[in-house]
Amino acid sequence: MLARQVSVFLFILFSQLIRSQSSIDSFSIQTISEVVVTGSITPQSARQSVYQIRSIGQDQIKLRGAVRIQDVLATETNIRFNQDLATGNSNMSMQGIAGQNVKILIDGIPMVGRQGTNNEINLNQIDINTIARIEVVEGPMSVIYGADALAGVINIITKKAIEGKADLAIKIQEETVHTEYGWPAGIHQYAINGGFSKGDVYIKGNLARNGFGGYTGTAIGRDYQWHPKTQYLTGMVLGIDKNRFKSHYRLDYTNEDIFNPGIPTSSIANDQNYLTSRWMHQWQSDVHLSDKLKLNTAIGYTHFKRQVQATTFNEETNDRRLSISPGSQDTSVFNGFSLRMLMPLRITNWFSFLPGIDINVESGTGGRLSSGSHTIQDYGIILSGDLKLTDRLSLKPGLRLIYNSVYDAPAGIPSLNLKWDLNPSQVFKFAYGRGFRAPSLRELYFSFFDSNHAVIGNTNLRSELSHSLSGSWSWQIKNSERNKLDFSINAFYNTIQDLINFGQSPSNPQEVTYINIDHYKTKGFTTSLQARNANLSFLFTAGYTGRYNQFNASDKSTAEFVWSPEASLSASYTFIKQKLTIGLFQKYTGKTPYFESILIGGAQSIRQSIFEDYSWTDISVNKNINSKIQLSAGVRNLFNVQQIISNSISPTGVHTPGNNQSIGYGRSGYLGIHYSIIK
Amino acid sequence: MRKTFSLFSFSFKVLILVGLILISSCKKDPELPDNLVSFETNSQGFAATENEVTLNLKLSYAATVTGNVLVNALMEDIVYDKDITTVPAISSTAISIPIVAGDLTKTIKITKKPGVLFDGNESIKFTMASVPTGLKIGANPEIKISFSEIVSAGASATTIDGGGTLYPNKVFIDLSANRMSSYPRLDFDLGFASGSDYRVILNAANGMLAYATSKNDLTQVNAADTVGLTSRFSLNAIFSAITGTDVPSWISGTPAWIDEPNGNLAKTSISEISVSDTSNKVYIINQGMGVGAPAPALPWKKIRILRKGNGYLIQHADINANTFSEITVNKNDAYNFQYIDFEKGVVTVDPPKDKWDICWTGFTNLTNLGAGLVPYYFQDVIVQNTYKVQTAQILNTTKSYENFGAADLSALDFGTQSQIKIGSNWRSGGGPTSAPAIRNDRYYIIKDPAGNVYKLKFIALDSNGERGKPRFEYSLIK
Repeated sequence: MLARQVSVFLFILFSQLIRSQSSIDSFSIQTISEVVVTGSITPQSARQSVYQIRSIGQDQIKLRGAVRIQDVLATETNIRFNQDLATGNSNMSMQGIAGQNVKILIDGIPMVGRQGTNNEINLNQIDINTIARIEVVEGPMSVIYGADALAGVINIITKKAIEGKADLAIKIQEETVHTEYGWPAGIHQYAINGGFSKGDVYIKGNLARNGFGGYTGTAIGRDYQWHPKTQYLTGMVLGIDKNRFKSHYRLDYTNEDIFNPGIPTSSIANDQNYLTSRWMHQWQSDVHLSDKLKLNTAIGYTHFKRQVQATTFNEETNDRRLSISPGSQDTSVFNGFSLRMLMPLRITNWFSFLPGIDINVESGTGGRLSSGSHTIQDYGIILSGDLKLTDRLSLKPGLRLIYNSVYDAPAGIPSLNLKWDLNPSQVFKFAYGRGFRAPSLRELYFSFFDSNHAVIGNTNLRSELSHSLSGSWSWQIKNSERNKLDFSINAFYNTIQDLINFGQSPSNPQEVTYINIDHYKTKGFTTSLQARNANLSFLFTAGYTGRYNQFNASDKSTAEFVWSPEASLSASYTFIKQKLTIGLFQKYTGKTPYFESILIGGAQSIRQSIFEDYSWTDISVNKNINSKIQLSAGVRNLFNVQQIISNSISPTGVHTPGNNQSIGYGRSGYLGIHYSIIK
Repeated sequence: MRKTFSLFSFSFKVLILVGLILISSCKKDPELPDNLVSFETNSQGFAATENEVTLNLKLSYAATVTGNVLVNALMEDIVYDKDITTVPAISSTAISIPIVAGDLTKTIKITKKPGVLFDGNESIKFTMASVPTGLKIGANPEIKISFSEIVSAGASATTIDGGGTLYPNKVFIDLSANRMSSYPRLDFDLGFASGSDYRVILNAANGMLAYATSKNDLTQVNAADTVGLTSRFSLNAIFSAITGTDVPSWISGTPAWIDEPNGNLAKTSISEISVSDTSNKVYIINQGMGVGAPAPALPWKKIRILRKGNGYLIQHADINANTFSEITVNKNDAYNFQYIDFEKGVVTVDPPKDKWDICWTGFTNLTNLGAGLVPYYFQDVIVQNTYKVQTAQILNTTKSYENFGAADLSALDFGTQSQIKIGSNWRSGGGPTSAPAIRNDRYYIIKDPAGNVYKLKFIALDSNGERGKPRFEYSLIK
C-alpha cells in the first residue's frame, strides 16, 4: 500500500521536475540554502554548518495549517510523538531517545518547566504563528547548550520585524477533532501578530488563543478520551538593530488550561484542571567589539507555574466547589535563570577561538517535591574553536567544564565536529560528542508516601552521560538557480550510561528511589533525497533505527537491538497562475518491537512485543486570493490513526494485546484564513 | 513625527490587548464547599438492654466558625430528668450544642435513668433548628430515637465516616439498627478467635505483618533474628522490591506474612495455637503503619501465644527486650474475636457479632502487581461479618436496583462467601492515570444475622472530593 503510494508520487514528482517550469515563488519544504543559527554565532547555511541541522520554515508551517509545533514535527524522521492521555500532553522521542534528552530553545535560550514523570518541555506551549523556523539538530549539543542536549536540540527561531515596515497578520483557523466540531468542540485558533520597524528600532507583538475542545470518542458522559485544552499565548519584542550592536528584549506569556472531568457519582464529579502559566523573559545582545572580537550575551528568566486545581462539580445544580481533600490541590513553581556569554575571537584567518560561560539556575517547589524550595546551580565554561585546516577541511573542537551545586555532573565533556568538502558538491560531516541529561528536580527531591509506597528523590544522582557518534555525506547533485537536487546519508550511534530509573534504595530498602542503573543505546541511519524547482518542492527521507533492548543485559538470548523503520515524504506543488499550492506530508512509522518482562504462569519471563506500524498523512491546499488574503484547507491524519496496538507473542504463540499508544484522535479537516498586510 | 506616534500607538494597542487577555485568562479557584451539619442517620433504636445511646452530628469538614447548633427535642411519653438525661442537657425542649473551630463531630448522649422501665412506645425526635453562620443544615436534619430495637427500612445517602483520607477508623455498620460504630484502627493489635478455633488474626487495617521464627522462647529472639528481614518485612519494602526488573525470590514468600484475606481461619499467618506449648513459635510482628501523611511506621514486636484454659495467653515484648509481658485473653462467644492492644490489654474494638453486618476499613489484601501475589494495602474495603452474614453482588444488567424485590430472593443464590466478597469490588482501583471511582453498574444484597435482607448500593467514594467518606443507600427487602 505504502510502497505504491510512494512510487506513484515519486513518478509524478520526477516527471514534473524534468519538465522544469519557469517562474519563482514556490513554497519550499526545506530550503536547501536555509540559514541556520543553532550552534554558531553568525547565521550560516545549513550546508556550511559543521552540525547536521534540519530547518523547517514558516512556509511549511503555513502550508500545513499547523496549530502547534507537533503538527509539523510529527512527520519528521527520527522524531516520534505519542499522547499522554492522563496529562493531556504529548511525549516526544528523538533518535529513539526519550524527549527529556532533547533541549528546547527559543532563540537559543533554554525553556524552563520540565514536567511530569517524563521531564519533558511541552513544545506545544509556543505560539506557532511567531515562528520563523524550527531548527532541529540531532546528536549532542551539550558543549554549547549544556544539560539535556543529549539526543539533540530543537531551537525555535522567532520571526523578526520587517526592516522599515509595519506589518500585521491575522489568522483564523477552524478544525475538526475527528468528526467532532462545534463550540467548544473542535480546534479554534485565533492569532494576531504585528510589528513595526523604524530606523534602528523595532517592536513586535503577538497574541493567540488556541482552543481544543477535547476528543470524546468512545468516552461516556462527561468524560473525554483527549482532555480539552485552552491556551492563551502572547508576547512582545523590543529591539534595536545597529550595524555593530544588536539587542532585543522578548517577553512571552503562556497560559494553558487542561480540563480533566471526573465521572459523576450521584451527580457529583471530581474534576481537575491543570493550569500552566509561564513568563519567559529574554534579553540578547550582540556587540562587535572590534573586527576580530564579538560579544554575544543572552539572559533568560522564566517563571513557570503549574497548578492542579481539584474541584467537585454538581451536575444538577452546576455548582462547582474547591475539593477539600488533603493533597488534591497542588501548585508547582519553577524559576529558571540562564546567562550565556560567548566571545568569538578571530585570531587568524584559519583559527577562531570561542570561549564562553553558561550559568543556569533553576529552583522549584511543590509538585510532590519534598518541602521547601530546591535550587540547582549549574556553571559551565565553554571552550571551543573553529579550525580551518585547509579550504576544504574544517574542524571544531569543543570542551565544556561543568560545576553543579547538587548532582554529580561530569567535570568536562568534549566534542569534535569535522566538515570536509570533498568537492564543491559533496560534503562529509563527522561529529563526536558527549552529552548529558541533568537529573530533574523531581528525580532529586521527589517525596511520596502512602500506605504501600515510599518513593523519594535522590540527591546523589549522577547525570546521564552519553557518547554519540554521527556522520553524514551529502551530495548536491544539481544546483542551478531553478533546479536543486540533493542526496544525503546519515548514520548515528548513541550510548548512554547511568540512565536514571526507579529502584530499591540501597540506603533504605523500604523506599523506592531514583538510581543511576540502566544503560541504553540507539543506532541507525537515514537517507534523504530532496528536490526543488519553481513549482515543486520535495523531500523523501527513510530511516532505520535500532533501540537497545534492556533485557539483553540479563538474557543474551534476546536481541541486543530492536529495529524499526521510518519513511517520510514531504512534497508541495505550486500552480503559479492560480496562486495555489498543494502539499502532501506523510510519514510511515514501521513496526516497533520491544521486549517486556511479564508474569506467565507465576513465573517472570521476557517476551517480545511489537507496536504495530502506522502511516500518518496530511494533505493541504493554500490559495492566495490576493496579496492580503490567503485561504488554506486540509485533511490531517488521512488514514485515521488513533491508537497503535502492541501485540505480544507469548511463548504459547497466542497474541495478546498489551500496551496501546495514543497517536492521534483520527482523521480531521481544517479551514483557515490568513490576512496580512505590510506597509 | 507621525510615524513615531504610530509606533507608540501600535505598541500601546498591543500592550492593552496583552493586558486584557491576561486578565481574562486567569482562572480563579472556586469557593470551598458548604460545610453541612447532619445527623449520621435519621432513625435509631434504643434497645431494652442498652443504657445509653450516642448520636453523632457530623460536619462535612473541620469547622472554621464558632457558634451553637440549636436542636429541638420532641419527646413522646418521656419526661426529661425523670426517664432520661442527655449530654448536652435538654433545656425546656431544646439542646444547644457549642461548635468551635476544628470540630468535626459533635455528640448527644442519651442515658436512661436507673430503674426506669420503658414499654417500647417512647421516642424522642431531634430536629436541627439553626446552625451558626458559615455552616448549613445537611441531608439528615432530624433523627428519631425509638426506645425499642428497630428494623430499619433503609436510608438514602448515608455517609460512612471513615475519618478521611488517612483511613484512621474502622466503621461497623448495622443496617437493621441504622447504626454505625466507628473504632480507631490503632486501638488494637491482635484478634483472638472465639468458638472452638484457636486462631489469632493480625490487624489488617494497619497493614500488620507476621513472620514465624524457628524459636519457641521469646527471650531468645532479638535483633539478630531480624537480620535480612529489615529490608523486606514491610509493605513499602515489598513494593520497593518489585519495582525493578529483577524481582527477588523472597517475594514469593510474602503472602504468608498476612492472614488469608478471605477470612478463612485455617489460613492465618500465625499458625493454630497448639495445645503443646513447645510447638508455639515466636513471631516477629511488624505492627504496620500509624495515622499520618506519610503514615509513621509502627515498631516491631516479638510475640508468642499459648493456650490458657479455654482461652489464650500472649507473651509480647519489644524486639530487643530481655523480658516480656503477658496478657490473658478469654473467649467471649458474643463476639467473633476478642482483641488486645499490647499496651492496654484486652480492648473492645467491634460490636457484638450479631450487631453488625459490614465494616468499612483499610485492609491488607493480596494483589498481583506483575510479580505474583504480594501483600498490598487497599483503602475502602468492605469486610463482611463472617458470623451468619451473607452477601451477593447483582449487576444492573441482571436486574436494576430499583426493581429488585422480595420476589427475586427465592431465585437468588448467595453463593460462596468470603469476608471480602464485597471487598473492593464496589469501586475501581484507579491507577497511574485514573482515580478510584464507584462502580455504578452493581449493587449488593445483604442478609444480616437476624435474617433481614437488604439491598445496598454505594453512591459515592468520597465527600467533597475527600476520600475516606463514602456514601451508600440501602433498603429493606424482607
